[in-house]
Amino acid sequence: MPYNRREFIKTSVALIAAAKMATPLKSIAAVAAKAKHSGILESTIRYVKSTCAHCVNFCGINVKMENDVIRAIYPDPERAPFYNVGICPKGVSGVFNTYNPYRIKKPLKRSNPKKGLDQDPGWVEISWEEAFETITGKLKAIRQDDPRKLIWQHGHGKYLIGDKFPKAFAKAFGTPNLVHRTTTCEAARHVADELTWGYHGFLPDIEHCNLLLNFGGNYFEAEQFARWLDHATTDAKERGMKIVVIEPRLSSTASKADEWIPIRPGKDVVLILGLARLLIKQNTIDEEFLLSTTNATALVAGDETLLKDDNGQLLVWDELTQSAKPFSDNVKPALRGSYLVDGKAYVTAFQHFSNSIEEITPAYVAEEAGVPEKKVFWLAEELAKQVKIGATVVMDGHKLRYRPVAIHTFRGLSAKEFGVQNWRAGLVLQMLLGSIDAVGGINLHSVYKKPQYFDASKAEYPPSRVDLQESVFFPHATHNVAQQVAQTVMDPKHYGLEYIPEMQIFYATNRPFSTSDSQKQFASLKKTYNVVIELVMTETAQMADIVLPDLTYLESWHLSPSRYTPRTKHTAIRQPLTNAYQIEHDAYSILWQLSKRLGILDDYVKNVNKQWKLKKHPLQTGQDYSAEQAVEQIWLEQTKGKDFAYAKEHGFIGKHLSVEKTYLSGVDKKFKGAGKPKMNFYAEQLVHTLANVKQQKKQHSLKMIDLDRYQLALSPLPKKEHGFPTPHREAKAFPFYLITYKRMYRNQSGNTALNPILNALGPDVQENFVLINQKSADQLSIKTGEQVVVETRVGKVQGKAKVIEGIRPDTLAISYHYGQQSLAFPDSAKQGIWINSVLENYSDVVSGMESFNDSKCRLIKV
Amino acid sequence: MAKLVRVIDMERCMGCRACIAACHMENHYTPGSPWNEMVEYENGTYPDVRTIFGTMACMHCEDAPCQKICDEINVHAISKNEYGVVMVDYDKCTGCGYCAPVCPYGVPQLNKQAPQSLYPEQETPYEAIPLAQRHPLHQKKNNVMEKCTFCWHKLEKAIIAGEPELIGKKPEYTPSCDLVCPVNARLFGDIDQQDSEVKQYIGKKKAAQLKKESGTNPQVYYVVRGGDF
Amino acid sequence: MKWLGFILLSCVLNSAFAEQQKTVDVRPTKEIKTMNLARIAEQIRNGEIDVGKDYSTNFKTGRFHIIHADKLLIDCNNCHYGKKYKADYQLMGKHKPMPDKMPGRLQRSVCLGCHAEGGIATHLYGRSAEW
Repeated sequence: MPYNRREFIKTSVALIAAAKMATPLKSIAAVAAKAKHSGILESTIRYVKSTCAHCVNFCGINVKMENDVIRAIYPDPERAPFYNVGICPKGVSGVFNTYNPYRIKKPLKRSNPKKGLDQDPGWVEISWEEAFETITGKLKAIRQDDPRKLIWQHGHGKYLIGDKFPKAFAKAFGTPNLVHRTTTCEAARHVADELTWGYHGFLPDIEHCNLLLNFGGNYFEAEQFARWLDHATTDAKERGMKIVVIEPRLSSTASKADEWIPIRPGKDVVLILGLARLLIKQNTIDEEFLLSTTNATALVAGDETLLKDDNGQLLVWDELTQSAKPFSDNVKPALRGSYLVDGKAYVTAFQHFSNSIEEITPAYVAEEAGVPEKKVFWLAEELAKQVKIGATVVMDGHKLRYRPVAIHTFRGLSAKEFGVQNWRAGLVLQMLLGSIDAVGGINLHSVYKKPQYFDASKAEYPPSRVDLQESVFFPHATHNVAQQVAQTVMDPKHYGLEYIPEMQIFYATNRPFSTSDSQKQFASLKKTYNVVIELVMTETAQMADIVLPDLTYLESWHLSPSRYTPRTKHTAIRQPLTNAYQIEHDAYSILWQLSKRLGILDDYVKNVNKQWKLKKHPLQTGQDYSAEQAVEQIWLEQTKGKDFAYAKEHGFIGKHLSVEKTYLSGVDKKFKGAGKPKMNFYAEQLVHTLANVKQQKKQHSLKMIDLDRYQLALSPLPKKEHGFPTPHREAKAFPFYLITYKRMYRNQSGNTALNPILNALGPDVQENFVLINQKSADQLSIKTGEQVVVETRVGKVQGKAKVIEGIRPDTLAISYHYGQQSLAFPDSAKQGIWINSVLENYSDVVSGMESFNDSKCRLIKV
Repeated sequence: MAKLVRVIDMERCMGCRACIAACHMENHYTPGSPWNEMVEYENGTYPDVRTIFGTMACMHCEDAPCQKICDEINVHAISKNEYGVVMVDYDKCTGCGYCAPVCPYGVPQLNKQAPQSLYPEQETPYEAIPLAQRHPLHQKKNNVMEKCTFCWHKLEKAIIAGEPELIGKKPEYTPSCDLVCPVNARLFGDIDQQDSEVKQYIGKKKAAQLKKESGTNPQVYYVVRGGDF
Repeated sequence: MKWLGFILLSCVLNSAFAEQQKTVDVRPTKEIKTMNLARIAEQIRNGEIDVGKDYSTNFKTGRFHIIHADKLLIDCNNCHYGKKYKADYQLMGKHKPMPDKMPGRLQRSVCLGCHAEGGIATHLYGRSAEW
């Protein structure tokens, strides 16, 4: 391109304007001339906004296209005020999530009837027509017989096309069996939220927080809100926020913290209750919050139920009239004490709690949780000092409660046998501090959106769903029970299932690989006819009868999920940049095809409208919709008519939330004051659920229901026993605790293992290691790089040791998403240890949550 | 004059390696010859231990020993331009390897085969971008030295467009490693510019150069916390 | 600069008293070692000692190793460390993953002794910064 007169003038003007720059004219000319003569072929560059879908952060990205080739992926700077400032290495190297020679390009059918991780399926390429015909044939037969025999399972698929399309299909087909992966993720945390305040999801108000207690949430390596928490906490730390990370391993998050407290695995609840005890003793608790917003003043009977009047209203002890009354404006409820009502003894829920944690002294915490006494005292002091009980702050003319202390967790407290109780403890502690929905505390999402979460579970039997959701087995499992499907399929009669599942469709999930005790999962896949929709030949795909290719997030349309922050939210789309292997269908069009061929398309469309709440911009029956067209309708509905061209140009539209929306539409609105329901300090519904479980066990002679186990798990208050999961109690001969964690460079799905950039970020990224403490390693004469065997009660795995200082001496840690097994993967993508295969699984019976961090093991030098 | 400077804040860096991935993607990574590397190690002993994170790419020294030795043996493949960017000319480089041991920071990468396909099984459209379509700095050759260029192919565009003051500010004119960081741990810009952000950052956050005793005067500064210095 | 003066002076003294040095203690002192290195360096530069024309780090034929290992007799361990490396190796660099082209770990501050400004060898490293 000639350095022409126009450019000369432009440059001169720029120079004069920026005189301080003082760059000689000839330098620019020299640079331009060099560029001109370097003989570069011209290419067209354009930038397209979209959303990353490697993980559930859904970062805004700006994709650089060079002549229709995806050249690079950068963060979208416009998204920064609303969510992510940058992107992680997975997002950066997303080019190779799409450009990947290992992609499945055509539908495949197995010719080897034997299924197994060691069995070559003998794939035969078939046409899309044959694939659809075969699948539809099977579906038709099942639908005529009993549509419940179809199970739809997805994981990441929920974030590729959303779970609403599959839900609509399942509804139209007539199967209740749609299963998502949440119990492999953080279901226990959700259920604890639901039992306590009627919906789920929260975020620490980082901007105003001064003390953040993080129980194992690792937002510098993974985590659901990582790409906001990472920069928000880094900025807040410079501002003066103190961060205390409590977890057995020195994660990246712990490395950047002010304090790292290496707690013994599983014992977090003991520490939390120990802190609660100290706060109560020192009387540094927010009494006003407890009295006005929670049911801490409710009266607990001997049978653990709460005292109610004939209308079902909770009664409190009125200090003015010295009698039991419903909480109204004239009543002054007692927080502490025991009282006689009609000759029966009652104690306030707060008092009950206080009594129950009397033994959890700092010495006890030190003994059981491995946290030194001094540290426990210090932590309680810090909490008391920083929380500023009684303080208010004015923002935008609103006077708001100011409690700049937040307790956060992701899987640290929840991926356990007692996950629900562990996070319940976290919530109870924050009720004591009064930091819920306060400025600088934790901010709850859609408080009391579903009041039914305050009801007891019917504990249904026989179960209607193959995953036993909300049945007697997992009475409050409101987020499916992903790992249970395999176990029910192996023995439906054992669980009282009235039908035998026949067919499973897996969409973008490598679930069997990612659960605990995963070998059992693969055994079950031999029992059903499996269709897998996937990008690459994962372990799950290897067990399929038919595999269908899918489009990647860079090749497809979607109304993207998006993450909010306490002060912002946004609506985003994903748009295709390419179709690297000219694949004709993705899950969206597959569902459309199947619905059409089954003759349920109209029903499907009606359900799609229902699921997406499309009232003003519904899809019409009697016509086909491409993915782009469907996304346009959803965009119009969600943005109240914002032009779709805007979506294609900017990728998203963001909104700043008002102070009212952030701080005054939560617990203060729904629970505070007389005449309103109360936040569950005491989760009474669990008592009634237990009664229903007992009733069902008796009525149906359910031998497999261990009532002791249910009694402990369904406790209305967390207790110290919740720090002792089954393996800790039983596996005494196994000296080490075994925990897992996630690294930044991999996902479970398997396609990240094939990404050459993600495998080139350093010599330590292509495999994982057995992390062992230096002192423990010395005692066993183990050095970094040596082969070791880790043995649990489930099985053995072998791999390389890595000796570090940053882990408890009594604990080993092995990350997951390594040790791929697929026969179709090259060796370079199969390095490392498949830790899931030996993790003990004792699911949380309340929520169905899988346990990932409760195992015990021994370590043997090879 | 303009002097382009990078600041890496190790206090903020969380070790995610997005910057490593970005450099690889931006510069057609040659396997085995990374231009940007993560250095991660523990400091202290249990339980009083932390991991330190930092990345190292070319320091673009004012007194670059790699340039000195390359001139000394009359090859003259390494040059430093008026913006302070040190670059190697693949055509002139003889692959002698002298620059590698003399660099105090271990920056120069002697490659074997370049360009090299990342997927040996089947070339992808990204890898198939013809050499002639790539910037000269990405038209790599076998057995030469390659290293970080401060993404000169991006900075050059700013100068040609007459917007050099936007270097480090506009994403198209910012080295990709500095662009992608999720925690804003990296800055890039002209230290001689008025109201220079990098200058303010270096002063306020006490950022320093590494291995000062080598007298190389690097143009990359680090906010260092912990580890030896 | 003072090194050069010292060397010149030593050379003068050396030649002047050469006959009388048969019984002098010739165990290499630090000064004599450096003197020898400086002399060899000068001889390499003016061509008296032939180190070949192969400008490479090839340890058999390349000038780099012929000069430092063969002629100057610098022990391999002075520069290359086996699997372990010294604590003051270099900031962060000691933990740097090594690309596959660089066998062994290099103690780079060793180079400064001769190659810093004012040293006996080719000047590669600028003036030390003021602390």
